Amino acid sequence: MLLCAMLTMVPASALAQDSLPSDPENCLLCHRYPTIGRFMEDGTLRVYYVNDRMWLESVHGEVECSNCHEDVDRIPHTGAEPVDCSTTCHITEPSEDDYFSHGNMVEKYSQSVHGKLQPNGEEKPHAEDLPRCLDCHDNKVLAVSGGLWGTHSALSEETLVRCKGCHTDAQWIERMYAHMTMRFRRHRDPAEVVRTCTGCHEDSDKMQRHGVESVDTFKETYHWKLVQLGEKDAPDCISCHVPTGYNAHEIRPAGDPISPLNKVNRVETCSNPYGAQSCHTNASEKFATGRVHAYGDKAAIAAGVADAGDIDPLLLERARGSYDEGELSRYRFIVMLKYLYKLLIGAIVGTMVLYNTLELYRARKTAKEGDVPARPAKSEGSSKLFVRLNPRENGQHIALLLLFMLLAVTGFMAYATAGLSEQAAVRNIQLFIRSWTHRLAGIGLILLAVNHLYYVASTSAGRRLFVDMLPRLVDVSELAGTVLYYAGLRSQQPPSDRFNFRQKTVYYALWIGTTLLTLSGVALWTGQYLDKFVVDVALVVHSMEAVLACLILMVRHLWDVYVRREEIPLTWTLRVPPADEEQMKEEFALHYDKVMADPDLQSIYVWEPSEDEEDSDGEGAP
Amino acid sequence: MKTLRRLLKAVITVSGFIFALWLIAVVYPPPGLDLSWVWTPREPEPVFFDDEEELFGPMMRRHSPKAPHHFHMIDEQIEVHVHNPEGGLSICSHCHGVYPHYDNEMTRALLNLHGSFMDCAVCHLDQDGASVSYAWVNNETLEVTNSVDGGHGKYSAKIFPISSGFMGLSSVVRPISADAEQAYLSRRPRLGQEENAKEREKLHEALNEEPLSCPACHDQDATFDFAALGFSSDRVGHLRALEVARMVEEYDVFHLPGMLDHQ
Repeated sequence: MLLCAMLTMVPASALAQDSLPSDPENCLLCHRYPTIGRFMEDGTLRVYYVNDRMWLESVHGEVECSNCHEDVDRIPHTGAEPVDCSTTCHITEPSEDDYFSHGNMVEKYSQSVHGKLQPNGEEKPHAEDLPRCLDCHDNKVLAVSGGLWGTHSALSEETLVRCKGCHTDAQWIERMYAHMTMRFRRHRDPAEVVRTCTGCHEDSDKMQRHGVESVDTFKETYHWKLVQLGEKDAPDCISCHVPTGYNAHEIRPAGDPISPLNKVNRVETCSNPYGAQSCHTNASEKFATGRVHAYGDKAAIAAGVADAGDIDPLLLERARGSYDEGELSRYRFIVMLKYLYKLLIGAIVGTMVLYNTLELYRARKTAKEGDVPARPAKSEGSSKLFVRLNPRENGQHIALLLLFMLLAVTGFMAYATAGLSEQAAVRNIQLFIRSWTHRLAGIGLILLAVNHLYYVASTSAGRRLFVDMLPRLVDVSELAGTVLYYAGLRSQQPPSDRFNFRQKTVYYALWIGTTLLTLSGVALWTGQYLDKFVVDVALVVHSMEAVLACLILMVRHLWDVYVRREEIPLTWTLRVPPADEEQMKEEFALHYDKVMADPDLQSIYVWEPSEDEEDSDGEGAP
Repeated sequence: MKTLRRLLKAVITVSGFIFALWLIAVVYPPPGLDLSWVWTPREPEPVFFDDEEELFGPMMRRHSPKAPHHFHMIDEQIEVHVHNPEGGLSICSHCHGVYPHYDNEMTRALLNLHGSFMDCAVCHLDQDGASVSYAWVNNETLEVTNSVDGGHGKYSAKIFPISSGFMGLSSVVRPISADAEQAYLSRRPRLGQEENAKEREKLHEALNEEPLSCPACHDQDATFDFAALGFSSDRVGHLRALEVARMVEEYDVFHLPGMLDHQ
């Protein structure tokens, strides 16, 4: 009794029932309960639950159940056919004041590349694979959408007030306003569009049956990167595959005259000068007619490099007819370029790792045997210091260090995006800062290179640097001698001049890398004016060169000047400090001997910690 | 100072090493090692709803913050109220799932719909000689409650059989205890077919082979005390006179009348 008394306090609202205006048959009597459903005989689960509140606010909230489920006329509802969206429902279509139907859209869709029928009226092979309405559409909540024009006056509270001036039914006004604002713009963001399409197009087996390759090829494009980054106007599937002036149900094969992929329509597709989503406004024909998706199975088949055994005959046939000789040459070039870079990077990094290992092995061995050449205790008074880089060279080195780090960080950020904000607005600012920092740092690097050339050409210190850096035959014997020394076949490291062979290699590698990165960077920046193939090549070169440059600096330079040494290679001002006599004798013995024998050279290279050191122009003259 | 320098050197060396490894992994992706999280950004929040969302959103979308990806608007309630194991509450669902009725075409979906607000024991308990009443048991606290939130089967509590004991103290009737269930499940892999059948029968011995059918609750003469559970008199009347329950009892197939058709 006590319990009964308590339970009468359950709020009536919680256990009350009400009905929806769009449910005169009272289907929700049962279907509003979340566990209404069952397992089918084949083990699949069917959930018959309808969330009534959400349904009311959905696009179909005013459509009665029986309008779509026309043949449900008994309990249990066994044998009911799937809903046909071309059926007529009892919503009034205002332009013709007649019952509404999606029949028009279904008709257009049936003629598209996704329609189940061929032009001759016969069903396409594997028609069951082709998407039904529900594969792409769900029942959206009718939500007011902003964003097309930001806070444009057409989408404002004032508009709603104006509606309410004439129309009196508040619910109708809200639904109509939400409907209008929703239809003013695309209500799927690009990522959702791509997800919708890839639901089928990533299924390689299914695609092969229809002579199409997997859309993984899209996921190697900059377009996809923008989609992933949440860019509002990122190019998704619809942007390029739906003909201008048509809707998404009317996608045609690429050969169709109205297809945006048809070569005659490509410039308009990329530039879309009159569209809301205008990307490459100045796209040249050579840019627009180039390859967009990465090369995939079809190109590999056409080029004869794919194993045809596992591939569906239809895809084989389509692929072999899809590429002309020019396209195939371009495909082969890109593949070969990537392959060569992989070999090159592997060879260079492998050699450097081997070299480091030998170096480490020799140092350990020497230390263990105790035959370290006795380094006299440093005596500040007597030991001379030798200039390695003069102030101007030091300045260039510091600028290079900073610019390189900035370029590497902002460049690889385009790949490593894990630190980006989840908030679109913040993310856009991050991306803007990233891309412009990278470009400005790139310009800085070009200016630095020009400055260095000017320095080399216009100053005597620069000319000396040029001469001392010139590759000579002795560098080869120095390399051989060093390897022999590391291998324990020689007791002494060969003496070096002002720059050893390693420093010369890094210097010239830097020149080659900077030149290639600059050229490819400019090509990527100005891509839409160029041949798309040039842009594709530039992308490979830019990314691979960047990886190579960073690896050389990490694996060799950082190792050589910092990791393996006790001393810190830079002062706190990032300046390369002068070397002491011991280091000179050990590493640059030839140069040391020359300097000690020539008073003129001493005036240049023997470091004088004078007050006006900072003002020195690099000549080293007092 | 020396320690600081060594620390700095360790940091630079380790980060340089990791960076170099990452670069190598970019050029030569190691098979089986998924590094895509580094360069696959987390999905950003939708970019479309901006200031106007703030202005109009609350007005236009009072109840439904997010559209679920199902045409019939299946919502998160399914997860919260059905798949949530709710501690010891849904012992039966561990083996029988959330949709346990499957063989009777007429009743299976309708019986399953009761699962979100009733424990199986309400119908399946063998009540011979036992004196039980029914009460709401809170999904979180697992205690008898008189406060129920929600509606249409999506409540904060479920109906359970209750036995009244000394001084009016009541306890939830659990025909199968969590311990017995766990003990059986842990033994089951080692049981032979015959042993398994025996153990299963023993586990279910407190259950009625002939569970309650629709008229036990949904009939004018039903004894089930809806009012004691807090239902209003109107609602009790409605539940007792429930048309669907009578259809299910009286027909194999019930043809819906066509008078509501528009054509």
